Amino acid sequence: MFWQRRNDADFSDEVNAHLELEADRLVQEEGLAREEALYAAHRAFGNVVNHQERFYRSVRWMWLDHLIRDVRYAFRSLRRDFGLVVFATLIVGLGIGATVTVFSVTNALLLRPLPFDEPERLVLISNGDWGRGQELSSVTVQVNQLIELRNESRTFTDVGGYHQFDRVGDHTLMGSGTPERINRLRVTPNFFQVLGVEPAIGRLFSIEESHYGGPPAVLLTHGMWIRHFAADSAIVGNAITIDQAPASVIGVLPASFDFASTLQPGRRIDYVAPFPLSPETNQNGNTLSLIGRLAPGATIEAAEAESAILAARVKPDTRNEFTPRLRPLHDHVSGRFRPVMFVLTGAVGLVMLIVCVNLSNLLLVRSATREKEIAVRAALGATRWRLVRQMLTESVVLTSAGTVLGWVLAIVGTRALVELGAGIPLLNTVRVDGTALGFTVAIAGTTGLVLGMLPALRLSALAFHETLKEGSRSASAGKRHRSIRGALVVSEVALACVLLAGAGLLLRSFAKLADVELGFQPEHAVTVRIDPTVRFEPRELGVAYYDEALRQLRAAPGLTSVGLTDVLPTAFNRRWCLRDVGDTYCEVAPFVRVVSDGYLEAMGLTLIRGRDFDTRDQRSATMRTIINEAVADAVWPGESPLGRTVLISGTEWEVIGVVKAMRHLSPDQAPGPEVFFSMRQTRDFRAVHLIARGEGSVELITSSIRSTLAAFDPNLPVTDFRVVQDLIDASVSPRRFLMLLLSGFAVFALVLASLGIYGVISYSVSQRKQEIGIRIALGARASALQRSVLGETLRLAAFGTAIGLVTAFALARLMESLLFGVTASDFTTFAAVPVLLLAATLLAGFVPARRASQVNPTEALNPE
Amino acid sequence: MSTQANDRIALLQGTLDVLILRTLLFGKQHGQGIARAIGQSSDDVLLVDHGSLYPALQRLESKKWISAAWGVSENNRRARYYTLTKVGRKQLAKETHEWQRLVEAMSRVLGLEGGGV
Repeated sequence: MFWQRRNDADFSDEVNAHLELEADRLVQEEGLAREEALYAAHRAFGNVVNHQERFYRSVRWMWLDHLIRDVRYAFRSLRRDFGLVVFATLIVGLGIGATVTVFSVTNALLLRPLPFDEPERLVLISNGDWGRGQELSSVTVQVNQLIELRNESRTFTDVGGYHQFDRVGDHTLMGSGTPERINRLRVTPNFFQVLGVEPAIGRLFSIEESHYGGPPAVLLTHGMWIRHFAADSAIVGNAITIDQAPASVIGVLPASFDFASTLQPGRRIDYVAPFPLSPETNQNGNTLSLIGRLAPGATIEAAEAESAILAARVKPDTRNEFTPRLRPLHDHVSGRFRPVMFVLTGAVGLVMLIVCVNLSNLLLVRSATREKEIAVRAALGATRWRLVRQMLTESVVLTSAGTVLGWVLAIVGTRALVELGAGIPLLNTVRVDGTALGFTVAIAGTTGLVLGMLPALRLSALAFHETLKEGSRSASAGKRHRSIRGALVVSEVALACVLLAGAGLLLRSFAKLADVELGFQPEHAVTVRIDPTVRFEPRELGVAYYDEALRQLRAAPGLTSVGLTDVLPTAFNRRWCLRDVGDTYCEVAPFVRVVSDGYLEAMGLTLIRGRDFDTRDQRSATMRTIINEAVADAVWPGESPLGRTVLISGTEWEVIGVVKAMRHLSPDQAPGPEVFFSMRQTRDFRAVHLIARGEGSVELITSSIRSTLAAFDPNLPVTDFRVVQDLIDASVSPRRFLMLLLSGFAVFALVLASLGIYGVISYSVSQRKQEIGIRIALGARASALQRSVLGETLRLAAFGTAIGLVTAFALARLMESLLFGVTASDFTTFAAVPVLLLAATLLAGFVPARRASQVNPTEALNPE
Repeated sequence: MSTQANDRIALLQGTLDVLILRTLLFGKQHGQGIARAIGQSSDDVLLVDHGSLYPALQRLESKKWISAAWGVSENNRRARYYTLTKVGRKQLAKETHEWQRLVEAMSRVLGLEGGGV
């Protein structure tokens, strides 16, 4: 053993030497015979064995010695029970894998601070409450308001902002070959200072570059730098061509600054440009989202109050209202995922509990076969604590292989999650790291100890009874054993019931969601972006361009209807103020969409009144708009809005049609108010997406579009076709993911609970072989025996189901925010779960029941 | 174990240590030799199980008051010889001084040297 200065052999030698010397002396001085002298020397020495043991103990850490012995013993003992080891490894692996994955995600989303300087002092300042609809026009702030806050506030050390309305692919980068669509983010000149982000290479924006009309300068994001510029640091200081104009690259942002992942998940930012705070930019209205850094000692409440005062001060100069609402930045980024993570953590906890209970049950059975061994050890002097420690070591060793498997599964799981997760912030920071490792070890250790507790305690108690007698079976201990195992199985069933109920509610929600009336037809519709990278000068050319494109597409084979729009479903959108003529307040703030003729048909929208846009709606004619039901009902309830005039964003529009409302943002959000403008009449749009509907397959539609557009304009970069249905599916993918995950857990739990019941009933049947044999010999019928066994099974299952249902009912309320279309006390779910459980348990009891009826009486009654 | 035995051991620890150190003052010695020397020099008043010497020897060795090495005895037997270290010498002086004080104090209290009832 390490860490001793002398080994046992050395001490042994010394003792022997002593005895020899003493014997010599006695022979010499007292004339004893050699043998006698040795005996005398021994007697004078005292208990040699005792002293050797004492020495042994003194030079070691005895606890470590015991531990190593226990571990070796555990290995030997488990090797005999290989099936148990495999089973335990599997279920512990799955349980721990799920637990660590959920932990890593929780850590990344909710626990770990944001990758900024002193992130707890950063707050998001929005205009009004940031509701679920993410209506950006109403939560953003005007430039003047930012300036006021920045200059006058004493609760903020600095306030910066970013522009909310840069959309995907709006800008182009000239490289070699075809221009590439890239994404821009515009920030106020002090934005990075507020966050505390330093560039990895180069510098931040200078004062000149931050002025309106100043020299164009850009910062590249880390991803863009690696992807497009091959991580070449020479690009800093050079110019690149963006939107056909040169812009100087002044620096590269660090990899830790993943703005998109934090604040606009699912998007990718390629470069950052300064957004000057000037009277010119102030004209654009509400454009900025603000992030402020609280001064030391300032509280959010104080800051909010001060911001309200400052907002009121600047009100006469601004077009729009500003009601400051402050929220810690971290809250804003991932706060809405708290319910999901809460549910997942709870679910995973239940899964681990079931794994523990199941294994504990198995170990209890195993302990029954080791009674004699333990009794012998107790008789030889092992203390109760020593025995318990040995059993606990064994159960920890048993879980260790499962832990390793779980760790591997967690790594795989988190990687898979990062692939899947669109729209979930910070997902690329999910990793299995040191913290996760510590957590894993803690969970594994706790698991091992918990599941070893019961068998250990039971065995050590038994050891001090008379179990060495042949064939003896302490009746009371046996019965208690059975009731403990029964209780364990009941709890397993209850846990499985809770998980099944949760999964059931989510499944029903998802089914309801699939049935929901979207208001448009996403199937068989393909979309692709077709605004060319070159701007149209003058804009009228654009109208002609798109008109011709549509004409050619309409003639193309396989396409039944085509249309254009500037915003796709599930994409964020702007909202403008709509007022009735003569009013001074906004009646409603509808989403704005600029479309071509034929869009309504291409999208499958239903026109209830009036007409679609057509060639009559030119720039020279009256400005016309099509509104949806929600607007019509809000402004002119009960009347026809056709022919009425409204004021939208300062211009008068005549209503020429009403469409049925559509769920534009995502299927689980109610439809909002919308207005449509014709592309001929307004120029206020940037992107142009083609929507094409056809009868054939997606490939046919796509190839038809591609060939037509190639003939029409060979320079048009036509890539990135998407099926509209996929957009819709992607918007519910987090929901689907949660549902699948929870269903997986529920199935796992059900399987374990069934196995648990199977085990208990099997064991009970095998224990009662004699009794069954007698009953058969006395004429009992097979069916009666089966019924009795199944009855026992059902009793256990029913008990567990009852407890589980009550618990599930109480807990379901916590899930309410995640449900759609069903309440937390949904009858169908709570009715289906017990049926499923009872069916599964009956199945589990079936085999033992048959075995009971097939017992051979003569065999059973033979004395062992 | 009984408290009497515990007291016996506690007393023994303190006295044994100083006895061993004193014995080794006269030169290196092995375990058996030390046991014999203690018995002899105390006229067989202080008798101890030879085996009980060894925990004390191990303790003293771990405190580095004595050092040990294997050697050969007079009658050509292998034996582990202990030597007093410099630190051990200082410790011996200190403990002897303590014993002196204890003995004088006890004598005074019990009236062992002239005077007193």
